[in-house]
Amino acid sequence: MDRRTGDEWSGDPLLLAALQRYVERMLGELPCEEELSARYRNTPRLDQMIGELEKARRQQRHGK
Amino acid sequence: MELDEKSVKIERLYALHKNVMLYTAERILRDYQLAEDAVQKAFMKVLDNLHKIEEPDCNKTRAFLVIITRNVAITMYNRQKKQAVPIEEIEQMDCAGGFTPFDLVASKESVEAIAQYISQLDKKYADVLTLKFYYQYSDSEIAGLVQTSPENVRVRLHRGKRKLTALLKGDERFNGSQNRR
Repeated sequence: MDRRTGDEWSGDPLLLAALQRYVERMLGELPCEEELSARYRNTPRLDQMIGELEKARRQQRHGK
Repeated sequence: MELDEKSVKIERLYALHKNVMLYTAERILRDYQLAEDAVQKAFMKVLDNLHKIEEPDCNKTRAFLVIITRNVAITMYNRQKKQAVPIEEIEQMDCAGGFTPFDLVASKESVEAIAQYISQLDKKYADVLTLKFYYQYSDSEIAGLVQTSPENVRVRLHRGKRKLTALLKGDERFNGSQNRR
């Protein structure tokens, strides 16, 4: 048990190893990056949206 | 962390994982523009948790971004379909009596088997279990990431644990007393 959280499952090494393996399997089921890059080669709208998000974040930080 | 360092990290996360996030969202929403909107929303959540992402270029971070995007896209899909998000009633949180199904000696086989059982769970349970015990987010943080209430996160955790325990108890490798530490 993790004393910090009081949860029986927290910090269990077997559960952690299994979750790590689960995450690896989940990623393994996705197409490879080369295939994804070919599919989403051109994303100007999303690039702009994320750019604006980052710009807003910077402005917010400067404003503080 | 310096401001410029943060910007570099954000750019790196976007460049490395944009495609897999788009793919994850598009597979659920079946619409490219909505998928872009989902990735933007997912990124907003990532920005709020940037300090918790240590290494942009690793599987742990990639999987985290996939999980967040998946949850954002599912929420958008449900709203689009005007489906009421099921309200999960808070159950009586019965005590497991100190038993954990992981009270075993770790082996490659047991790790593989538990991972297989986790992948059999409904994604909403697998995701909160992963965010809680692998990424070590608090219930409130998970609520923000998967767009639900902390109470609902606790319900999902409880149900996820119960379902996973039931699966493991049905497997003699995890039920046999000879395996106990």
